[in-house]
Amino acid sequence: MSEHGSHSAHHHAAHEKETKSPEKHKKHVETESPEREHAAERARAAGREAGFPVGKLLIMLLLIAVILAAGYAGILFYEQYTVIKAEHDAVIDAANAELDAAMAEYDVANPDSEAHIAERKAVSEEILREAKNEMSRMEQDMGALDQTIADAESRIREMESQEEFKYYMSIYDQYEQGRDYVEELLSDD
Amino acid sequence: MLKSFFRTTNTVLLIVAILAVGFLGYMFYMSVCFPSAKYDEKLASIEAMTEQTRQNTAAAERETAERLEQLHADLRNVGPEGIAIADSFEQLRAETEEKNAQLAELEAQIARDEDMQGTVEAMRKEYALKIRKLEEKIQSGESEVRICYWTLDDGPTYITSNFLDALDAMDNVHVTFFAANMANDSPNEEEMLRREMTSGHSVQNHSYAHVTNGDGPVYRSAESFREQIELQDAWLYEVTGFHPGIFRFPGGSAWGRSFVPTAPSVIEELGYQWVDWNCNLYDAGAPEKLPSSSLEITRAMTQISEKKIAMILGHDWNVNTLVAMREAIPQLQEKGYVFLPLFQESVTMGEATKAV
Ligand SMILES: [Zn+2]
Repeated sequence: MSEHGSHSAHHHAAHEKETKSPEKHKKHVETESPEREHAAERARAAGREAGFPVGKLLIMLLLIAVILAAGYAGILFYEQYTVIKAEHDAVIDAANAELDAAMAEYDVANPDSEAHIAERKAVSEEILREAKNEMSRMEQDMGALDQTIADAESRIREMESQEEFKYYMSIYDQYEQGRDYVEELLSDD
Repeated sequence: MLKSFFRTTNTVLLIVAILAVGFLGYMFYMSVCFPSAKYDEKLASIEAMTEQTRQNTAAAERETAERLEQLHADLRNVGPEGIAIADSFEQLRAETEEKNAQLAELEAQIARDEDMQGTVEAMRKEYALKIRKLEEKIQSGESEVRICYWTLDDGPTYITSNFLDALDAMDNVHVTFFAANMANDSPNEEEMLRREMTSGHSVQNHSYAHVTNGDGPVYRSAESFREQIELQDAWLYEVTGFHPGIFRFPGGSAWGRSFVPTAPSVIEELGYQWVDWNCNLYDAGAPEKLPSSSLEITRAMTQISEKKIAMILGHDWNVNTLVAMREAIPQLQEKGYVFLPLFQESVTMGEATKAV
């Protein structure tokens, strides 16, 4: 085909310079189309032999892969975006809260502000009230404690006035004296 | 047709195989990895909660203390009224502390008073352990002190009060009464036993019936022997409030063991000790043969003087013994003897006194 083609192209270029006729050109193209048909037919024949459109399938798969990759990348980017946005929002909220707190503190600290005066007064009153409550609670506790002590003392008096107690107590005293006596004997040597 | 059937079957088999492998894998995960991870997690969470609870408790306590501290500090900045309140706070606090200490002391006293038996027993134990220490020092030659355990058997009797009067008249002289319920009749035996206790003497177990024959209730059998000790123990506990803990065989251990060979193990089973004596006043004869006091004293004094630790056998019902005792004690005191009561915790002489 190359021998014939190059010769034909040479011939055609020379011819065209002379005539510049579109028809001749067209005719020349027409003379080439049967060759192409032959090639296509050969390809179709090859495809029929394989029984499967491999090229088409590969292209489809590639397309699907590209779409999926694009979708996935989109999701990733979106997620990244929402995270960053939430972080920014939180930082801004925190900063706002800090600002509010600082302003409130300033209101209290500012000796000229109404809030400060009211606050101080309220605090003083609150402290006094709390202290008075605490005091009366402690006094109540003290009263209860006094009562408990008095009960214990009378319990002891009652127990110790019993004959049986006096009996045990005198044995106890004897043993205690005996112990001290022997202790003395032990330390004499 | 056949070919397509095989193809379908193969596909089904492949699916079943995949499902089976998957199921196995799932089961493996559930039985090995998953539960242990789950329990570890649960345990860790419980431990974390416990730790958190402890921290919360500590924080709450700190907060309460801080709140009060803060309140007191704040009070002093509130003005004169606050300062006055703060001052009285301090006072109340100090007073409360003082009263709490007082109450703790009273409560300890109540606990002691409520369990006087236990309190007395604890003190007796302290006393007895000191006596034991003294015995050890004497036996090792570290101490020149001599101990005399004067024992008086078979009471209480009609002359027990005379013995007690005589002993009361002497300082730091204590004896041991081996009491036997039925040995002698005494109209006021319970009062006497309690007086023995309150005078600092020791009251111990000499059997209930005090019959020395081999066919009597004490030595008839091991069971009867045990019952005799238990009866006397119960009676003494009822009257004095204390279990004795030392037994003396009526007639001595050699006599008793000739009838009841297992007697020592019976005594041990009851948580008791037992003692004989190493000096005998020979004052237990028949009334017409009662020894004259001076002769017996001479003999006893000789016997006693040979012992660093003397265990004297005397009887609560013999007037001569009373006379002898009154004479002998001051003489023995001059020789360095001290007169101590016998307690279970301080009986360390063991077989040495048991065998004599
Ligand atoms: Zn006896």
